[in-house]
Amino acid sequence: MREMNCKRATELLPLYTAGDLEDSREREVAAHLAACDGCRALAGEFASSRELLAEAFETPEFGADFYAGIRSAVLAEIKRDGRTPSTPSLFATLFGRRLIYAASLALLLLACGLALQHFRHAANESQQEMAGDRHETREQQQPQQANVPSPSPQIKKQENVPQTVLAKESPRKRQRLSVEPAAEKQRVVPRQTDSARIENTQIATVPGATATVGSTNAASQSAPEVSRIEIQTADPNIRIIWLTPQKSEAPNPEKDNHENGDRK
Amino acid sequence: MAAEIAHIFMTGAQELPPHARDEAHADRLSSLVSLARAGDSLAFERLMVETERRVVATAWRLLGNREDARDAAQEVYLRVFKYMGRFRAGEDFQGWLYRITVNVCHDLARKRRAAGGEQLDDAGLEREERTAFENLRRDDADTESATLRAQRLALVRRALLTLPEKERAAIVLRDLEGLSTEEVASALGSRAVTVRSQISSARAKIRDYCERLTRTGGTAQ
Repeated sequence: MREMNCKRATELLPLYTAGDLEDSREREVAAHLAACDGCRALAGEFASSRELLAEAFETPEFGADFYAGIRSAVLAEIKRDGRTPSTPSLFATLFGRRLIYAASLALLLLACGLALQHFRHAANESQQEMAGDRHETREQQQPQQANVPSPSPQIKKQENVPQTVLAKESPRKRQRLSVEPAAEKQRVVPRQTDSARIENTQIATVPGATATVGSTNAASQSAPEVSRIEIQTADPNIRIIWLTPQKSEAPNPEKDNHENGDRK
Repeated sequence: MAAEIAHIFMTGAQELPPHARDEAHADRLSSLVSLARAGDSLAFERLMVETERRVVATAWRLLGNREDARDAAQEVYLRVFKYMGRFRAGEDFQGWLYRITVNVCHDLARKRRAAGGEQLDDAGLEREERTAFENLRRDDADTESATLRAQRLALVRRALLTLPEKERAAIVLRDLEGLSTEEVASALGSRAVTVRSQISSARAKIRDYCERLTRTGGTAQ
């Protein structure tokens, strides 16, 4: 058996005197007390203080009236409030309170997980949309660049935002279009998924439309005839007007329709 | 119904060994709880009669005076009635009752403190001291020694009431109510190792206090 020092014995004495130690510890303390007078005296003090405490708190006799008073007060209170014992719900009876907490926590975590997944999905969709829009814009720009001889920067800018478009839009949007023509053009192109909502498509060849497009006379005179395609989207505020310069041969409506379909 | 209750009490009145008596008592309480839960007010009253002394004694030991003990006991039984539906069959009713009693006493002590009153009620202690002295004088021929003894007991009571709330509850349930460490842990909703530590600390403080009392001849503060 290991030797116990006085410090350790002193720590264990409060529990030893009331038999609260494990057997092995109790034997160690007993062995130490047998050899140590100081600790034995301390153990005696603990024992006498417990006796004194027990004596000080001996259950007092309060008398039958005291208890009867408590009972009648309780019963009167119950009767006055019309209280009934609470009955636990079937769920609580079956599973207990701890399981209810666990189930609530699991539901909360599940809800958080679903919400997170939803937000991620929405973020992915918006990224895909942006990527799709960029792709469409690039596709639009490429044929234009191939067919149209590149005008001066000023004319090009004017072509991106035709005056007719500006005239039909709301004042606020008009202002935006005039400030950010390129960006706005990207925005008004309908998505592939929105094609079903396109209500009305007008395809017309507008001879001399350049007069409304260009502001420089020299440029307008040299510009070829322009095909005008109007697409009304489901949103009444958004109408897509596409002006493309025509080649010298006669316009082919099938081709225009095909291009229009591609754009959607 | 009344016959059923009478049967319960007749069973309890039989002479049984201590362990069997405890089990019989627990069974009797469980039966009374079942009846009271079904709406039998007589069974609830019997339940109070069976347990009120223990509840009042615990409350008195935790709060230090008779009036607070009475208020606490009333609140304990109102809570027992209210939450009886949540008491599960097979659970230890005494342990449940101790848990409610300790919680009610803590709530009451906090309320008293919040209201500006001292938890350690000097007036109450003096009253208790006077009563103890009167009792002792009746028994002891020597008035001086009776006075000294009454003072010492009152001071030990005061020592207990100065302990932190949790230590006091642990030592009251373990040393004065005679519960095992595990039962105390269950009643206080903590672990046995925590209760052992609280009990050890409380006993050391009480012993220091009593030691000072002995050295100063019963006038230590």
